[in-house]
Amino acid sequence: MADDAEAVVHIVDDDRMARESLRWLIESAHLPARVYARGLDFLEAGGEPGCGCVLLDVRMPDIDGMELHRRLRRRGVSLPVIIVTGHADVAMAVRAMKAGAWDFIEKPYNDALMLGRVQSAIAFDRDKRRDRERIDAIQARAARLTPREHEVMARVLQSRPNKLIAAELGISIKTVELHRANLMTKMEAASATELVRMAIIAGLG
Amino acid sequence: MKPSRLLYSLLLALLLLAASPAAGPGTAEGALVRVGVLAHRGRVQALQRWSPTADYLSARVPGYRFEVVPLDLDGMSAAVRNDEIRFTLTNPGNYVDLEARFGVSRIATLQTREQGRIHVRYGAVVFTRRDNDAIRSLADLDGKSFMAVSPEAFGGFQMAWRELAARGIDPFRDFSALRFAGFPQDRIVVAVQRGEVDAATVRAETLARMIESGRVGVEEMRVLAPRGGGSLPVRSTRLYPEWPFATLRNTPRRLATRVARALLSMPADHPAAQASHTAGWTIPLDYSPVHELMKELRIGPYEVLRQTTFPALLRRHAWWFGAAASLLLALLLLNGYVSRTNRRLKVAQQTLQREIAERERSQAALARYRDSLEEQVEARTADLEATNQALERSRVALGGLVAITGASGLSHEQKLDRLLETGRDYFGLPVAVLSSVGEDGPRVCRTAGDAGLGPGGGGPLQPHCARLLVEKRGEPLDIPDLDRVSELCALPGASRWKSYLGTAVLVHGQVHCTLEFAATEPRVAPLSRWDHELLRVMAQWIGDELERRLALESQQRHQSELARVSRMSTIGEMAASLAHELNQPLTGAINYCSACLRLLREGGDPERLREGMRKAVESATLAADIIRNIREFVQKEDAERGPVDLNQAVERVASLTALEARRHGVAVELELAPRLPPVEGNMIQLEQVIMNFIRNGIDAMSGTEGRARRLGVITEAVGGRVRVRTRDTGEGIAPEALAHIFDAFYTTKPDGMGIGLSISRSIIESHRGRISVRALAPGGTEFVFELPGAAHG
Repeated sequence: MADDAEAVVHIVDDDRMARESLRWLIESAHLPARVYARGLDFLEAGGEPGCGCVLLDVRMPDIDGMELHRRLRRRGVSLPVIIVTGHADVAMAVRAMKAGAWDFIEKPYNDALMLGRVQSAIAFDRDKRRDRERIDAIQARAARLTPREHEVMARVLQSRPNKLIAAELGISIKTVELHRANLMTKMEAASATELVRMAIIAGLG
Repeated sequence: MKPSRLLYSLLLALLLLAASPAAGPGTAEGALVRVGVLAHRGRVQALQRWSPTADYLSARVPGYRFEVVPLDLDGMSAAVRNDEIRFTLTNPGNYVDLEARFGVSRIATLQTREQGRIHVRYGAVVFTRRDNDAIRSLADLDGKSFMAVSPEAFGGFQMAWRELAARGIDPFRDFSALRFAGFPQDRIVVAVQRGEVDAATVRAETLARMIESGRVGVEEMRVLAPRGGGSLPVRSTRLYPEWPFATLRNTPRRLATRVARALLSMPADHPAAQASHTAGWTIPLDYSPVHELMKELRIGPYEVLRQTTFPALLRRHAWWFGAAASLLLALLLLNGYVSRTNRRLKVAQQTLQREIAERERSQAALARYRDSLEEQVEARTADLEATNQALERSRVALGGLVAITGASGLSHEQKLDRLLETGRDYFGLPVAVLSSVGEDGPRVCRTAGDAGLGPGGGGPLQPHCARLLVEKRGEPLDIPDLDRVSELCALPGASRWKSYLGTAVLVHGQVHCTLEFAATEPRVAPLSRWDHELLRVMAQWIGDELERRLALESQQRHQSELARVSRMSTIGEMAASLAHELNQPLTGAINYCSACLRLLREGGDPERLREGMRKAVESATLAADIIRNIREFVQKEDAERGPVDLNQAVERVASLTALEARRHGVAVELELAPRLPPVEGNMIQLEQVIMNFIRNGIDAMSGTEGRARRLGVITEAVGGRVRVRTRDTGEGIAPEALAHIFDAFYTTKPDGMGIGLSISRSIIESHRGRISVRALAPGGTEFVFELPGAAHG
């Protein structure tokens, strides 16, 4: 389902020409773009749920790019942010990166560089979103387990033999085997190895 | 004797005058009582000797103030006769005289102390040197020289006189010489000692005292007809009572009594007594011996007895004899004077006659001159009138020159033209040419009148003359008829100008151009020196005008150069901003072009491609505009001025500074008046002022926190003038800094040059405008400049 969602490039720049020309460039690469004249407009549009990235001009009269970036973080919008600046200001670049910006591009740029970065950001976002979805799925499945199945799973993940599990839980081996079969089904894990991988991805255990 | 009397009278009068103010009855010390004292040894001596006695009396007789009046014998008589004194203190001889003539009466007699004893009588001694054997008695003195004090001295002569007379010797007749030495009597003794005289007489005490003090040897002198007796020193005469203190007849009896009592009660050793070398006073003695002496000698009151004898007569009428003699002498002198004057008059008359003859000759000459003078005066008057007229014309012309040079509304060229016109009219020469003398040859600057009449070629009217003008360096060259100047006639192509006037115009002491006037007809009436003077003044003013314009041009060049440097530095300071400003459209153009390339590769929609390319061009154009703006801003503009729309200027500058404002978070708000009248000026320079204002405002707010950073740029028309204001919301500028803000190199910014606002001021002032700054109430500063609208310029 995540793969189906089209990635959108959000352009925030107060300069009309910069904004429009960038939209042209992005759209020429067949990427949908949305433009915002002010950082606040973007915030009001309410943190895009979809995949994509943000191109942010650092200097704007109302709130500057760095501030907008901070506010997006606070709202849990995890879109990768690319800071675009006309000034080769190393100190600012360092600050932006430390604040969690995904990348930093200096004007004037060539189209290949810009589009490459945008696509990388989108890919990154997409990957991230895919991971998130897998974790969410595993966690959803784990949520369906009964408490006893959880206890058994925890010990399976520790590679305990059924006999030992039975002894620890004070149940019969047969019962352990039954729980184990159920949880493997619920977790859609073909093998114990796969279950371990799921647990690592979703941070279970 | 006469002069001395006169002198004494004068002295007395002076004394009375001097004393009179104190004689008022109302003085604190009481009524003044004058005591006449015989000043036989002089006034000072008398005052010294007797003033203490007067003071003593003042103290002892309350209600009166006693004063000593020193008098000689004549003065004494006068004072007594005129009742000017109340008491008299005089020698016995004088006393009996006064007693007999004016009825004075003695109230006390002086005591003296001699060798410890008090005496009330005294005598005189007649003596000679003991070694003078020829004189052994008074009778031996006949034919000898003799010395005494004075004829009036009682003890110093008259006592001895009586004794001599008794022996048949008349001192005035029988001595070989009779000398009177006056006081002090010691001198007389010394004269005998030295042998200057054979014999002499003095008071007995004088000789005794000198012997006692050793100044005269005991055996040195021989006293003639010596008499002794008692404790008194040896003497040659009878004894006579000492000086009496006498009262005048009109003195109140009561006062006289009190004075007598006071005198008699004076102790012998009282300081007043000591001062007067006396030993106080005793009851009045009998002065009949004195009377006898006077009677015998026929002196004093008994002088009338002498009248029968000629000498006595002579003595009695000495006044009249003297007067007659004086008159005679005066007549003689007068005679001498008159004859001398006569001689002088004669000489003067001759001189006068000579002078009269001389004067007659002069008058004749004068008469001759007068006639010719009248002619001359007429001629001079005519001359003067002509000069006056010339001067008046000169004055009027000068007034015209002043009006032209001082006219504020005229351009430089207009002023020069009017000056030339004035000159043409004034000199009556129809053509005027002002041509510059440059290294690249002469060139006509201005002409007035029909310059086409000239030789053409754009040079001076008369090249040869112009060269002369340069050599003469400002001295006028006046040629009424060029044809008569041989060297000019000899020149090929002599011009058609006949009458010529010119001079050189100096600028900074260098010949800068030539000023020439000319006519095709020779001039009949010569030009006066006033005309030459006016030409000089005209040339000088043209020189001044040129000098002023050169200075102005130089100043404008300098200002414009400085302004340009300032603009360069402004652009330099803004480089980062401007780079970014350029980046925006460049980036835009690149983006559009890149996008179009991609579309092309994919065989994209031509319509979309076209749109992309159009937008790319738009962006690139914008970048080009910015670059042009910058270039125009820093380029070295010429001084050309034209109508400037300040709204447009503000917009252009606002766009140049937009990013600068953005970077500092400053919102620039333009409030531009619609239909703003244009101003006359230099667009770029005025933009520079606006730029300085805006950048200043942005800088002023760069440190402002917690407050909106707004910069208002306002244009408005105010009564034919156009005003541009910038208002910031910064911290404001300190009042002391405000006062200097337009000074050169004054800056409050660490990185500023401090020339921006100073250049702004010189730009606005050169546009005949005003520039000002003021603090705004809630903080912030307003910069204003105001220029006259073009319609009013």
